[in-house]
Amino acid sequence: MTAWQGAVLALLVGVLAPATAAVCRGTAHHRLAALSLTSTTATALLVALAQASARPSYTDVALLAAVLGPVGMLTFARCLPQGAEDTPGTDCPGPAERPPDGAGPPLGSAPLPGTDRSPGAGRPTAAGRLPGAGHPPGAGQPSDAEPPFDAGPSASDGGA
Amino acid sequence: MSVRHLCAVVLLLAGVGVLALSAVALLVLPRPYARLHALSPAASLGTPLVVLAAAAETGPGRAALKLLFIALLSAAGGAVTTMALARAQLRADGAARRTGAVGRSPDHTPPPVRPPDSPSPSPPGGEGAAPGT
Repeated sequence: MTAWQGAVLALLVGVLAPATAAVCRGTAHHRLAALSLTSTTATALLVALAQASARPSYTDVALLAAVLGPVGMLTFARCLPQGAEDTPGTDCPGPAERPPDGAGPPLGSAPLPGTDRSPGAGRPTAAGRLPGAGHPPGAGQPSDAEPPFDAGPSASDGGA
Repeated sequence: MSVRHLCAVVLLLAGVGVLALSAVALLVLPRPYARLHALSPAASLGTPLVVLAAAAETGPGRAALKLLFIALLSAAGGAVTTMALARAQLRADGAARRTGAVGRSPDHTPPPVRPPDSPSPSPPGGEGAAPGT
């Protein structure tokens, strides 16, 4: 067994198998992290396999994996469920259901969607965006224009 | 055993070691942000070391150039991927803090910055159905 064949075996058993096992369990973010490690390891494994089996054409597959792996990871990271963790139905949010704060700005400058920037002053205008806190002053029921998400334990009971 | 082959074996051992350590760290580390520290060395150090070992074994030429390009792509892509994963995690943490869904999953424990909506959610004029009246 040459060093390259040993490296292939070590990568398969010692890295790829645990990473694949980690892909199958845990939260969505944990699975995605394990998938990223799997993709990285697959590139190294293909290069080592090309050397071990003396087939240089496998290097092209490794090149393709190195190009497409980060692209896939970026796509999955974009489409992760944003709110409640591991909600099965919440896939990649479309443009209509994206929160209005995080939809527009480019990558790297988007603020956190939950940072309520107007604690007291912008209350009447923010009634549509902050659903749990935007009740009319006299009514105990939420308004009809509220979006269905984020009706969590916010200030619906008046906040003591 | 030539010097080139020796260099290739050393680089290969280092690369496989880094990748194996990353896999162990991915399984062992409990918190999501700590797991990113397992991903980043694998992509920016482990795979480039293995690919550089292959380039050293191949020798100068076009194939080695392609392998160097793969190493560069892996390092750059790994860094970008790690940042994207961290950003997705941060976004999920912010949303969980906003909705109060903290602690739903066992390892998802964002720092207790502030309880949702507790600091002055009501304007001075009285908000919502007044509970005392």
